[in-house]
Amino acid sequence: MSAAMFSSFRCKTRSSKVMLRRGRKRRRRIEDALVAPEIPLDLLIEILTKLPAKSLMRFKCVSKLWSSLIRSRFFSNCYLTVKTPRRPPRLYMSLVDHLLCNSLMVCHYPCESVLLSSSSSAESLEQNLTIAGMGGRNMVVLRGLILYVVCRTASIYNPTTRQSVTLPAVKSNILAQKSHWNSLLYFFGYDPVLDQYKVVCTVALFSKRLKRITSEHWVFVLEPGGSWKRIEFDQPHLPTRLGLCVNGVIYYLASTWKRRDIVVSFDVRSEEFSMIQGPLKVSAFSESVGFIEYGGKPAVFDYTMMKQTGLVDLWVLEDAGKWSRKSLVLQPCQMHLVDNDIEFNVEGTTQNGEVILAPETIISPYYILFMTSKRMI
Amino acid sequence: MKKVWIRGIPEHWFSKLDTNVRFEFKLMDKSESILHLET
Repeated sequence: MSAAMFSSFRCKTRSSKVMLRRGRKRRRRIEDALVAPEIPLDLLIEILTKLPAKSLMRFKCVSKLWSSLIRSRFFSNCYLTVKTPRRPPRLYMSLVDHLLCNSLMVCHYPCESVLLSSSSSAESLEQNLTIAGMGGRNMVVLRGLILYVVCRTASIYNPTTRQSVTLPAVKSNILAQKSHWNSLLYFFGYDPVLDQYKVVCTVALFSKRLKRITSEHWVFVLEPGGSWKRIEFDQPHLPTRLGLCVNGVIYYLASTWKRRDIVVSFDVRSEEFSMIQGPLKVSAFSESVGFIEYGGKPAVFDYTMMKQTGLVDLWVLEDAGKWSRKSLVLQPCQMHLVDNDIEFNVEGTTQNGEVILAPETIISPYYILFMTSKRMI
Repeated sequence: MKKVWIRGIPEHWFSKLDTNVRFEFKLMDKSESILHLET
């Protein structure tokens, strides 16, 4: 009896084991059907490039693969090229309260600075995007990065990752000479072929009326272990405006002892300087001249006559190195916008070709003007 | 030409001495970079 029971129990156990195994197999088959196979890398990249940067920063924790992919140069370049309405142009305002200071190292003057930003191209600067202690003078934006200067030291800031690096001081020999006026300006460039960011620093000493100018040029490649390297250029000049980088070339307005209307170009890849004659009717030293990117080309924006006649000249540097002139006329009903008591600075252009003008002094309530280029004559 | 009011500038900046205060605007078209900075 007991043997029969044992045999029947063993038989039941065996059959239940078989059933269990079959159940597991079935479950595994269902699970396999539910769990997606590994996402192909190109599809993964396509999905990730469409996500907000904030999410990507979090997704670095998903796996080593995701972390190294998101941190890679290849992916960050892909991310910049994807156009999505979720990443509209952003307006940055840097406010600095600091005495003009020539310090290249530690500054002892009190300084308050803040970087404000809007979530769209204009309107209101949001408090939650405010970054205290960031920002400085001579701000240059390039491919989502901001270069700014505090005292005479340059920093590069990525507002998306909130990461900031301060560049080492330039070891300039001519800055120690105190018998001249001096100037130190930084320019920011990108070479799309070698995928390299470079900062150029031009140090210039000059005498009254620019009869004597001495200039030194330094280049810093933004990469691990980067350091300043001196670049020779035998034509001394004094930069007069902040620069801009177009298609791997940095351009800026400058004066030499002979001419006040020079455009200096610096090829980011070959690290070679050259000079281009500026538009002959414009003085680079005039206060009412701005240097902007217009339609993917460097352009001189001359608004000397804007308040009197409503006329503005835009000189665009064409591919052959020649200047083409376009004129913009303000309509009579718009003339009240360029109030006679307020001086304006040119702050750049929008993707639609509108030129941004901002009052020179901080007035409350504050505003900026967008000058459209539709009415060209 | 259009005029756009800028809101959100902290009030105390308007009462500071003009001589020391500098401010600048920049419009960033490529508004989000995830580049990891290394030097």
